[in-house]
Amino acid sequence: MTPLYSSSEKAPARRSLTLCLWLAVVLALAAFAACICLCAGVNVLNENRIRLLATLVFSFAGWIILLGADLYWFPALAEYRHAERILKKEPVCLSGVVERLSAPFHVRGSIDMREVILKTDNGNRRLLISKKRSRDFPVPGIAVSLMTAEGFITAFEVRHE
Amino acid sequence: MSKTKRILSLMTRMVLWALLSALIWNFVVNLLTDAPPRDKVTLYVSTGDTALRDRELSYALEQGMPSSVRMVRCHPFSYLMIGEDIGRGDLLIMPEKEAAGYLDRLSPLPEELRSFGPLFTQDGEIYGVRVWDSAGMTGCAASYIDYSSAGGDWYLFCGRDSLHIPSASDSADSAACAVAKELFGLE
Repeated sequence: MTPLYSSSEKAPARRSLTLCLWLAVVLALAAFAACICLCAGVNVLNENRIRLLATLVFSFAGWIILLGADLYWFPALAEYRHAERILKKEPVCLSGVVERLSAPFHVRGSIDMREVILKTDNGNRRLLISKKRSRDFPVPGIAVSLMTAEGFITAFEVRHE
Repeated sequence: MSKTKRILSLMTRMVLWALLSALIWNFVVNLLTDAPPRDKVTLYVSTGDTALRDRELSYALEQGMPSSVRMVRCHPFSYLMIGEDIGRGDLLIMPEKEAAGYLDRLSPLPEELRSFGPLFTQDGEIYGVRVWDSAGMTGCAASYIDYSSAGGDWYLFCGRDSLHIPSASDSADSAACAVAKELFGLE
C-alpha cells in the first residue's frame, strides 16, 4: 500500500515551521529597530519624510509577515497538526470501489482536503483525503484497498480484479 | 473559504496593518518633534502659510538655542486654534500697524533685546524691536519671512504669557531672548 503519512516527515516540518517563526520575529524586530533608528535622526526639516519612511518600512515588514503567515505558515502548521493527529491513530482497513472524488475544499483552521465516496459491500462510505496527498489517488471506478484513521485515508492500494 | 474571500480577508488585514503603522509612527514622530511650552520656544509670524518658511526658520533658530529648551517652533498666526491666545507665544513678529490690536497680549520687551534696532513704544512702554525696515528693505530673517506680504515695518514682540522671558512671573528661563538674538543674526 502507498502510505500517505510518515513519521519521518514530522521533524523536518517542525524545523521548517520553527525557522519561519524565528524569521518572522527577526524581521519584525529588524523593522522596529530600523524605524527607531530613523526616528532618532528626526528634526523639524525631515519629520514628514521620516514619518512616511517609518510607516512604509513597518507596513512592508508587516505585509511580508502577513503574507508568509497566510500563504505558508498557517497552512503548514495545519498540515503538521493534521499529520501528527493521524499518525497517533490506529488505522482501519477498508475495500471498495471509488465512487466519487470531489474537488478540493478548505475547512477553516484545517487543511485542504477532498471527499472520497467509497462504494463498499456495506454501502457507501464518505471519507476524506488530504489534497496535498491525493495526487496519485485513483479516479472513480477503480477498486481500491484503503487504510483510514479519523475518517482520513492514510494509505491506498489499487486492487486489480 | 473560497479563494476570493481569502484574498479579500488578507487584503483587509494588510490595509488595517498599514493604517495601524501610520498611527503608531505618526504618534512616535509627533512625540519626538513636539514638546510642552516649558520645553520649547514658539515664534508666531503674522503671515499666510506660504509667506513663511516655518520649518527652515525653526531649524535655523534651533542652532543657537540654549540647552534649557528642546526645540524652537515657528508658525504663522493661522496655526493658532480658534480661541487659542496669541499671548502664549514666546515671540511674535507682526507689522507695526497690527501691533496696536494685540497690546493687551504682549509683554514689555526685555532689556537685552532693546539694543537691536528701533523700538515700538506705546503709552510709554517699550513692546517691540524692529526686524524689518520697509523703507530700506533691510532686516533679519528675510529669506525665511516674506515681509512684503504686508506693507510697513515689522516688529518683534514677546507674548504676555511666555514662559521664556525674564519678566514673566512663572518664567522658566530667558530662552526667548536667546532665540531672538539668533533671529537677528539670520539673513
